[in-house]
Amino acid sequence: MPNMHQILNIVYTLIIPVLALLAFILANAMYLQLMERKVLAHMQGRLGPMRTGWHGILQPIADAVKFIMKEDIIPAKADKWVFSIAPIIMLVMAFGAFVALPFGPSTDFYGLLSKKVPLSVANLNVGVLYILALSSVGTYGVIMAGWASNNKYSLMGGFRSAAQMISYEIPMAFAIVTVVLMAGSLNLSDIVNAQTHRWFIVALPVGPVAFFLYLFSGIAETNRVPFDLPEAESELVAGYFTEYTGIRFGLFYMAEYLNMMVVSLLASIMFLGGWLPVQILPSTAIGHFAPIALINKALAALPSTLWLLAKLYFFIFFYMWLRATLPRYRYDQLMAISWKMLLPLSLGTLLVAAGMKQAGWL
Amino acid sequence: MKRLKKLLRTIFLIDIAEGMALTLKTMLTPAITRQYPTFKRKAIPGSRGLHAMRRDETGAGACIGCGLCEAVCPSKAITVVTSEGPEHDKLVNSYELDLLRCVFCGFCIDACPVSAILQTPEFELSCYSRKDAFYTKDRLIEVGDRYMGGKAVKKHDK
Repeated sequence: MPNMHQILNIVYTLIIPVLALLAFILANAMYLQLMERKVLAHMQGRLGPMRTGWHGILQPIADAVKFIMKEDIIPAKADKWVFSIAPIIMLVMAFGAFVALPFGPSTDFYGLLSKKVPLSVANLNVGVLYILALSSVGTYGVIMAGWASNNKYSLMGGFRSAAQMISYEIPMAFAIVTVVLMAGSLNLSDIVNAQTHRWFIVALPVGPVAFFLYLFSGIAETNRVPFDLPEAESELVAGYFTEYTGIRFGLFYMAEYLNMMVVSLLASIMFLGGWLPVQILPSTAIGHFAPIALINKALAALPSTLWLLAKLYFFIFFYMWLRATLPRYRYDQLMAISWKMLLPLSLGTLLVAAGMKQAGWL
Repeated sequence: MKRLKKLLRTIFLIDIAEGMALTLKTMLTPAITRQYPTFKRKAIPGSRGLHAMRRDETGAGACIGCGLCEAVCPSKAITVVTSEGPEHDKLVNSYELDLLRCVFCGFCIDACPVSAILQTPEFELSCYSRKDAFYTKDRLIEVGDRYMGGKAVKKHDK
């Protein structure tokens, strides 16, 4: 029989963080869709949703209600179980990745708690590995959806997605390994702390290259434009979720935005210093110049979680920006970019990073 | 040199950066979209919308029943039925315009010798039943009254 103290401990360390995370994730998954529609619309000289609430602010709620009310159709010749499980796998894997992501340094909430707690549900010491593994399993959801739908377009989408995700996982993993090498840890909090003096994106010469590699493969991993071949509308209707309706379709949509968030959060944590504040040229003469030093101090005074979220939304905006700008790559170009360009580049980066680490220059 | 420049543009993604600058610029300029039911644009004078019939000096519909509009109508939207009156005059028994067929080309207006049929700038023509899209002579005169205050207008100038 657990005593009161143990129960409270479980509530504090597990239930409250999980509920807070769920609320954050679900609100984001809903409102990122509105953000995307708005950003795309304005980039195309339109206004986007305007009629549900002020500037369409209630649109996600209307969409959610619609998704739930819609008829749930399972095609007669579909593999019923696999068809039903596929969106759940996608979503669970996207949710799961958030568990290991730290949203800030260890904190006692301005003295509210007696001791400092990490701002993540589980401060895994192999967080990077865990997230990489989950994102690979997420691919199964796509393949299962494509296969179970019993539809040629879905199947094509599933195949493309499988090939694409496997191809781009390799340069992505190498880019991450480069970061892990620089930080000397697989723990995401430690990776942030290792960037206190210098963000990894400016850690010449390997930092910018690794960042570029990660960004590129991250976009491909999440099936976003210009690598959205698995769901290429003009060729494959909607790709692997052609046959999905109602809330199952909504789950796929949610999973896509959650994956975007995971990739963006990882990019901020690994390359842009996570929750570390933006500083104007610190540790140089300009940085010590009085007015700029004051600005730097003010920037550093902002809550660290806010900085992480700012970086996260910057990346998400960047994704939407790319979507509004670029056309889709051809399938052979997609494969060529991955295997002929990104893979050798990532291997080279890793080699240089390893050599520099050995020489003690990094 | 030119090839080198092109290669460098490709490697450093200059073209993509230029495209992204353009989309960002578009985003920061206000959209030209009008929120239609809330903000209505003023119809351009002379735009070809809903038809109307003019009244003549006696107050009746100005149509003399010549049937030229019926003849010229490319989509056969107009049906004029006439008969002979007691003093060998021509009576217009019915003048029907089917808006579901009409293409708003304005030929009937050009063809009319007495400028009886005209077009107003009204463009919001949706209706709940098919019947509402059939305009009889009375309804056309009604539209004319709405737009011209029942006054006879001078001949439509081309």
